[in-house]
Amino acid sequence: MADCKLSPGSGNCRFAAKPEDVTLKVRGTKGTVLFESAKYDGVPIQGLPSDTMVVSVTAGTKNLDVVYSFSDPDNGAGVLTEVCTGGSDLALVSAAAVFQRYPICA
Amino acid sequence: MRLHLLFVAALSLISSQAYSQPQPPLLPPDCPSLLARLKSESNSTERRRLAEALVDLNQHVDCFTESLIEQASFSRFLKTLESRRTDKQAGASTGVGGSTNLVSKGTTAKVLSVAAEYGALTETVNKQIVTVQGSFDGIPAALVRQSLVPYCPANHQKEGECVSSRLIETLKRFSYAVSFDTSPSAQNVTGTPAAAPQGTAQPVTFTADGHSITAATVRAVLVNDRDKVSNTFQQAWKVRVTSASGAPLKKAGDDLLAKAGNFLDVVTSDPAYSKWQHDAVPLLIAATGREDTVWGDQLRTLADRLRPNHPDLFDKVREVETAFDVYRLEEDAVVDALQKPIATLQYDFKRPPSQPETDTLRLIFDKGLGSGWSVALNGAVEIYHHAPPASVSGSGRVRDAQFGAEFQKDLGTLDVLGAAAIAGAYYYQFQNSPSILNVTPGTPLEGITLVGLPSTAMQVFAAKGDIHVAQVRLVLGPHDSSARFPFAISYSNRTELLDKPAWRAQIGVSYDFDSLFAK
Repeated sequence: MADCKLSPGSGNCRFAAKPEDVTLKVRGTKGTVLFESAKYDGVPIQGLPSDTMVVSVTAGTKNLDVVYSFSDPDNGAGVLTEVCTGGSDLALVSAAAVFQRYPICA
Repeated sequence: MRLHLLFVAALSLISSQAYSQPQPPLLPPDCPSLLARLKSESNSTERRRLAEALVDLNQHVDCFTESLIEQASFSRFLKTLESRRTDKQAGASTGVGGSTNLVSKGTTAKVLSVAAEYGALTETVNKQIVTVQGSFDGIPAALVRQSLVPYCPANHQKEGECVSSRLIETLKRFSYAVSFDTSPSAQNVTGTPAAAPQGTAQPVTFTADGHSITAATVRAVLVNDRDKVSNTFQQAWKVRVTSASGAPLKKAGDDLLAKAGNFLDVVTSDPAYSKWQHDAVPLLIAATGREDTVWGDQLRTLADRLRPNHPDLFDKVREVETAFDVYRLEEDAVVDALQKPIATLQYDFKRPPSQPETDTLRLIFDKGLGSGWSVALNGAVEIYHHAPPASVSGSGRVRDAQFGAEFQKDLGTLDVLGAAAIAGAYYYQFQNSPSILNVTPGTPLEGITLVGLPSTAMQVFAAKGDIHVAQVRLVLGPHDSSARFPFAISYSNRTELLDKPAWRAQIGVSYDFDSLFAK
């Protein structure tokens, strides 16, 4: 498995990243959660809905917008992680906030 | 030199300790949870972290849009309305002339489906029947999808007028169907002499006997399968969302992504936003015991500061909020589609041509057994709407009692044929009262020739007897289409009029308009 490229950011950056391909995964903690739709820097990410997606991070501060879907729309919850060696949880996901914008600084 | 080395070593030690310090726990992204934590948090560092998360609208833009919508009055809805001035059973229920359904099932189309079927199961004469059916939740759901009415999901409190998920769930339990007989004999026009003949001309009074509507049905789901947590349900949910059936949710998700993203671009690029964040954080930290009030005030403050540069702010907010409503409706719709009715009560009013009207009360049990298998059981009693005349020997108000059982196997999607399912069914009808035909002198019955009938005969009836029917049915559906084609072959020991075994074929076509109305 690859080394992690995302880490918690500061200021206006939700995540700091290296400008490379990053594989993200969402894991349901209450019910099943999927990436329903997403785009990075205004470009739609293909292959959704799915529980994983690849984001081609480029230099600069750009937004990753995500809409999540939940098998339990009332109480669903999950965790966003990066698929990498020793990766830690990046963000909590909730059915009460289906749309998330993650500014990524690379 | 030694001092320098000591200094560098100390710096390295401090930075490594800082690097190894654990990250604080992740915060929930939704503002109700953040507010709840802020109310119960006394540590100032943590209160700052929570306040900074609250003012980050990237995580919960709907908090801001909902608060603005709640300030709008009901008149906005009226204004919008004026500006806009324009595993299921499709097909007739058992015992309505032409039908491919030997056993009734619990599910129906949500909005509308239309089926045209030809064939007879227990009747003697083949019928050509068109059935239109739907459920009552389709109407409010369509209003939400067309952005005419807001949607209130179960755990999302909203003030003002909205269609609640509970209302939709309740209305979904009730469905209707109307069957139309499109056979040529559905409408009869009879002429009777109105006066004495005038030479070779005869004045006549014409009367029409229309039976184009042959049946009306109302259903109520008594018990639903309420599984929303099991692994089986979650697997089925994932399959549904990632397949063609998930298209309405995907479309709503894409729309929400675009509208919420565009709105955030507008808000976060305005200098008033970062100034608002800077001003709001200390106020929230200091608002011990008044967090809800201060947060509500700060959302209104943000709107006031943005409005000068964005006079169309409310219109943009309404667009985003509508996109959220439609998305949440589609999320709930996916879950609802997987909740199969288990027990359903159905009432049919039938008025077939040339036959007395009847009322039927039917109890339907429908259950998935796993691995694509399902079973449906029916029990029904049919009574004559009006008591038959005493001159009909052996007649009574109770016409018959019915029992049916069907096992169906979902074959999935076949390469050439598309979606497919195969079913085997058995049907038993205890005939308490003979089948009665109404005859009008001079008017032939379709498919039936009566010989030697006295001119005074108004009703004819055959010897009654119990009916046993066995059926095999194949339902096919093209890829990515809501059309379904049932083909069935049945064998019965007799029909309602003929005491002879019969092999029959039934065919039909149905179209489920749910997918069209979801677009």
